Amino acid sequence: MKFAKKYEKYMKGMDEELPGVGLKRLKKLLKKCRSDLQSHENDGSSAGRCPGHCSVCDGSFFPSLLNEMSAVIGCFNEKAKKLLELHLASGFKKYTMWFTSKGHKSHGALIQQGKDLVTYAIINAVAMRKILKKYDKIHYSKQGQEFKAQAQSLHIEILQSPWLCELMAFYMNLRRSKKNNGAMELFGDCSLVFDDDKPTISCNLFDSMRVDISLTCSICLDTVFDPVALSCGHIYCYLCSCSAASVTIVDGLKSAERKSKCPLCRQAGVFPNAVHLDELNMLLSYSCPEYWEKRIQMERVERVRLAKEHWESQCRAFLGM
Amino acid sequence: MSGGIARGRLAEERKAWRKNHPHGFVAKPETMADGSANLMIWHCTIPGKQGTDWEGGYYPLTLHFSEDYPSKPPKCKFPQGFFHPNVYPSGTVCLSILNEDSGWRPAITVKQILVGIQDLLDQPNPADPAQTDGYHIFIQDKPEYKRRVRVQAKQYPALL
Repeated sequence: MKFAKKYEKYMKGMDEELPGVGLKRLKKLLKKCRSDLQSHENDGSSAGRCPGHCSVCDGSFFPSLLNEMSAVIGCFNEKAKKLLELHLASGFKKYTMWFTSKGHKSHGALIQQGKDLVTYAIINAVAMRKILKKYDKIHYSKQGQEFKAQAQSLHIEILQSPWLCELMAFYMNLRRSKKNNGAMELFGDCSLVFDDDKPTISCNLFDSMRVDISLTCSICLDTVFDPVALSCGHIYCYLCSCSAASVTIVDGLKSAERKSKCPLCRQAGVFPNAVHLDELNMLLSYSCPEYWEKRIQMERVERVRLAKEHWESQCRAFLGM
Repeated sequence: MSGGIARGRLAEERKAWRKNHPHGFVAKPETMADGSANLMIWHCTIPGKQGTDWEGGYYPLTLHFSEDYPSKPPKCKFPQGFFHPNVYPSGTVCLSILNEDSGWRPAITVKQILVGIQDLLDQPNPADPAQTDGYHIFIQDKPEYKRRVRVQAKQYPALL
């Protein structure tokens, strides 16, 4: 079955209507463009290039794809956030959320919802990749690839979403708890791999796609501890990211300046909307307990020192010293 | 603010270097009088690239790390008066990846810094000169420049 048909079938078969990529419409648009191109080539004018009145390049293809991508990532992030909040909540908050979420979700239902969400994210990522590839093929251009890079800088590339990493960790945590048997067909081989002591979440997805998420903090060069994902998608230890953003742990990343840049991609303004990856933290604490215990001790000492330093400087400022 | 992070990172760098480093390079933290290692200062040696005028020389370089490392890059210094268009008379290396405002990223490792400096030796950047002597000779008299480089290589033989 062709991917477009598979995609259409998948989107129609969903319980609730979620935003998606208008694959059929965009393909039609490209088809029209191809015939326009061919007719222009027959005329002998500007062969191999888009004609002036190309319906694709005049601003209908990319803007609509941009809107669709934004809608997909917005929906995915929101739903993933809600699901993980429900899973991680404790005490009274958990009961409140449990009852307000429709249908009092059972453990199995949570797993299924997570699985559906990841499938939704991945199938849309594949759809976007395919349509951009097709665009470049028809136009003999690299505009599709450039658009992909632009999408990454706008934080609407779904495979970059921190919530995808969290959902994968959520899956592995549930698999570890052995409460779900065979609920991971999509992620049959989603695993935490330690290569030379460096951890990576590795996952083979359908359509020969592979996601590898490195869990080594590029600031301390160690396994991420109390991890946070910046809005560009890069993952660091919380303490390290505070240091990179030049903020104290007391003030937190929310107080980071807009001009602070990601240590890896040098993108500005990525700290204030950083996401705490609690599921990933849990997964790593179970996977390497000795290291975790040692790191907790070190971290505690460092945090106390930093907090003390912060309050001392506040006192000095208050007393005008 | 991040002294603990700097030392932790440098300990990891040391571990990674001991496990695997490029042939001919040396990088080790300074040893204090009491025998302990000062992770904030590293003494390194960069070998001249084979097949270039720099070959045969083993050039000493000192890396000075601040408490803000890796948010801020280390200061890299050759001996004073080192002959190269992109090395200041004081010995400080002028390289984009070591500039906080341009190419520096906390993800850059000591290994990458040293290999980057080795590349710079034989591929100077005339757009960013740091010393008059080296720059003018490089621009105006290539044979003389090559001769000076070969003479300097002999001044820094391998330490057995």
